[in-house]
Amino acid sequence: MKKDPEDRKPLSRSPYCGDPGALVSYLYNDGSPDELASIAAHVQTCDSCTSELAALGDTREVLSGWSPPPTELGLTLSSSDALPVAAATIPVPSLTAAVAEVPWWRQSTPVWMQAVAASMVFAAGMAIGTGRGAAPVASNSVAEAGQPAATPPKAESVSRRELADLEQRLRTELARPAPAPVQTASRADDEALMKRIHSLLTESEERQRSELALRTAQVLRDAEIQRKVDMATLQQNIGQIQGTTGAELKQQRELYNMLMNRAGLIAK
Amino acid sequence: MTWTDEELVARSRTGDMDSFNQLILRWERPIYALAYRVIGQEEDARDVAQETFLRAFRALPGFKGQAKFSSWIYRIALNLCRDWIRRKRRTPVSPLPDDVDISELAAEQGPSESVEDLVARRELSAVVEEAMTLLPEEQRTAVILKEYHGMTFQEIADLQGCPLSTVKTRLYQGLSVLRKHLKDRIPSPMEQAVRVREH
Repeated sequence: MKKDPEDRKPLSRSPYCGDPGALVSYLYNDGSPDELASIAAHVQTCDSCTSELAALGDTREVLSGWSPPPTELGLTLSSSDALPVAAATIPVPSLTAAVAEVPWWRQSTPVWMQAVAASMVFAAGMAIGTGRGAAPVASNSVAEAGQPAATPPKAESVSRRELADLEQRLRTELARPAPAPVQTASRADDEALMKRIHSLLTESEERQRSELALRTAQVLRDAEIQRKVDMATLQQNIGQIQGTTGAELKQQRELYNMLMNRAGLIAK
Repeated sequence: MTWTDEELVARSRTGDMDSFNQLILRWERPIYALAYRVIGQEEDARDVAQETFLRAFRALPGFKGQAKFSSWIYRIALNLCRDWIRRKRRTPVSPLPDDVDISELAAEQGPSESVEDLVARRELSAVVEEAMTLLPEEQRTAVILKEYHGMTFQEIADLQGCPLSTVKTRLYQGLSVLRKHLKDRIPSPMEQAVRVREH
């Protein structure tokens, strides 16, 4: 943007000349009145800055043609999404908000699941304990290479039976429905959850319905525009064909005339 | 009665959902437009807009009115856009002209716009979108905030967390790159823009 001193008019010597900040301020008319007036005075006398500003203005003109594709937004929040905390009230967070904000490892677990987990830990502990009981026998037998590890058959059979019992108990507990007290305790939560699910389903249905309507409208618009484009193309093609046919007809007529003239001359 | 943003914020802070939904209605389109221009994906821009309002709603108790609501929500949206760009690590703006739906542009312009003008506008949008991908994120954001959201240099500086002079430099550099690219791509950009605007 800066030009050699001899290219510039004498009055254009200004601290603003070639200063991007000043040019941008002037371009967007964003600055103090005094600053803008000083820059304007300089621009009036500086060809370089004037042309630079014109080019930037053209660029802005082109940029103004960029618009995002229109879309149906319709964003709304419901009280279940999250509750703002009012200073005077104690918030009662909705289920989804609470679940969303509490990490999974801190979310509450039903009592029956806790019981099953405890049983499984107990079973695992029993199994490890039994294994440890047999381990010294096995390690002692390492010295006697080639001989199989001597494990007391009684201990092995006991542990298997215990494990089988435990497995049976676990299966029974898992098959059994959740205990009544737990149900009563979580009934309120369940109802809230059901309500939430119901509202989510309703919202989803409404959203799908509106999206379907939107898509249908888009398809119709699409088809209409395509029809217009096709019609325009068709008319253009017909015009070309007509032009071509006319030209060929003219050529044939000229050829015919020429032949007739020559035939006439020969006849003469 | 039309409430100001500040009044609606105050009412929302007491749990008034309708007031916050009014704020959403007022600001959803600018926020969506900002997100679309920054990240260039329609669906993702929509998601960013939704997430912006959700986060704003949840953070309302912490919003003490130290800034304008619009500035605050723009900041949230820009942070989400930045996260999106970092996460995706891909070209921020879709450069394919074919992605632009002609019917959507038709709907935007209304039934009065002819097909030829529609095509011209579509091509122009595609070229500008492509040119925008050439800019670094900071320059692109500065240009978008200034050109399409009419923010002052100071507001942009506050949002971007940089000095005012940096904002001006970013704008100048961004416009210069765009100018060069658009000059290469469109032989006579002014003519095209004027032609489109005449209709």
